[in-house]
Amino acid sequence: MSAMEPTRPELESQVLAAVAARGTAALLEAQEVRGLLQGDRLLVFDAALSLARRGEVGPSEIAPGEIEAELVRNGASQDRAAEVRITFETAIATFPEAAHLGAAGRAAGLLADLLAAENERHGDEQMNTSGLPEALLPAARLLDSEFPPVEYAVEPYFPRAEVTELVGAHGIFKSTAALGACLSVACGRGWGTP
Amino acid sequence: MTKGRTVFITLEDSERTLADRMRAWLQSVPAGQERENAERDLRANFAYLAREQARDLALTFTNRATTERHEPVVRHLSALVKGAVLVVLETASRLHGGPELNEALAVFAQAIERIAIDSGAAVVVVRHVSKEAAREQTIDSYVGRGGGALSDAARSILVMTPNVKRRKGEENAYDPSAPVKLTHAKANLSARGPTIVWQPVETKDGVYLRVLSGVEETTTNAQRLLAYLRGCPDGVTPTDLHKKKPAGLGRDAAMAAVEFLLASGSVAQSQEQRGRTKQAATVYRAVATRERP
Repeated sequence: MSAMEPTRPELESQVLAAVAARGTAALLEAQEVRGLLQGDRLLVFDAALSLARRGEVGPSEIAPGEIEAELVRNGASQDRAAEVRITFETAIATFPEAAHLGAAGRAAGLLADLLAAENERHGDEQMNTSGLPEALLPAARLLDSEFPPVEYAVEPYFPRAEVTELVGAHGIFKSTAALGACLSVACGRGWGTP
Repeated sequence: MTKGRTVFITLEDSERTLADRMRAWLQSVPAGQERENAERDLRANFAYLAREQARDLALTFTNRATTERHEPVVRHLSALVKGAVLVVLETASRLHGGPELNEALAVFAQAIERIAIDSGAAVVVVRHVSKEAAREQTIDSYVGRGGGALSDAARSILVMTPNVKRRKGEENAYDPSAPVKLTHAKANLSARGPTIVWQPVETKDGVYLRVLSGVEETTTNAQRLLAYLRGCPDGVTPTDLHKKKPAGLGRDAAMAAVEFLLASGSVAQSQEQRGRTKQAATVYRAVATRERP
């Protein structure tokens, strides 16, 4: 970190002060607010952001249940959303001054404070291992499995469930070619054939 | 070709631009029942987001000095495109909220891969080339601007360039009516596909790309070569065609064009003594219009 960069507590204080002074709207757009957040904090912040943008909540009306519902709408499982909701409720209970702050302020600043302290206490216990493999797989699985052939949107240029890069200089009709591929596949017409 | 649902998401172009391009593309479909069927299929199978709707779809962001995946956006986008056959995301630089360094682009590549795996779609990321690659018209799998991590992650890479190599001093020349070429520079899951040459076709709504057949491509190349030969009263030899790349044509394309022009009577060939050693060489010259039978 350079000497000119504010410390994390300084940034979080700035966040809280900005929320109190300006409301949430301008703050929601600020990259440095999101930049403070990771994991659950980021989830809550983005849920609050969606709700606020849709105008479904006022700056100080957001409830943990709304955060939970929004997370589910955004694709989180019910269990995960409930877990985040509990964290959010804890944050509000721990910081009563949250009552006069906006939803995003609570989500961003206060959860940042709370979870940073929790992370410090629990260290590696906080690490999320849910996506890690539980065991190595045996060769027999490869030998005995029938894998379906690779499918293509347009063979052999666009393999499905994979990434294709379309590269070219400005003005070379990349967009026109890519849109043409979409329109051709949508209509079942050939792409790249006379 | 798998007919099915497709999605085009652009952070660069407006709805109006998309509408124009779609209408231009429709003009490539023969009018009548065929075009009506295409319109019906588009209404059923094609969906889009233009820059008006997609401007906040950054898949990555910078947290202090590190680039991180923006999980809610990645999940949201995966859910939106789930079940699509083909998804185009335009452009990498707009979707990526971090620097174009390798480490940051690796995070972006993971985000794109996640969308491809979760949705099952062929996900195409449109990417600009580096300035140098644009100038040199380089065709390889690492011409994309910035680090190579995204190119490493892609299982297929398509590179678009002008169909003919520009000559020195013409690097910045831009001819919107000139044919363009798509080269399959990388294919991990299959043999590379054939190179496609398109002729941009201007319509009242915009441009669509028409595939040039081999004959049409030769005809187009022949016209370029003939224009070049008309400026060369001394003619050119096969060696000249090989070394000087007249009209930007490579040797094979140039020879095919010469054969076409010889057959049409636009070019004549003769045996002459050329060079310091006065060796006999074949010389091709444009035939003046009035001399042609």
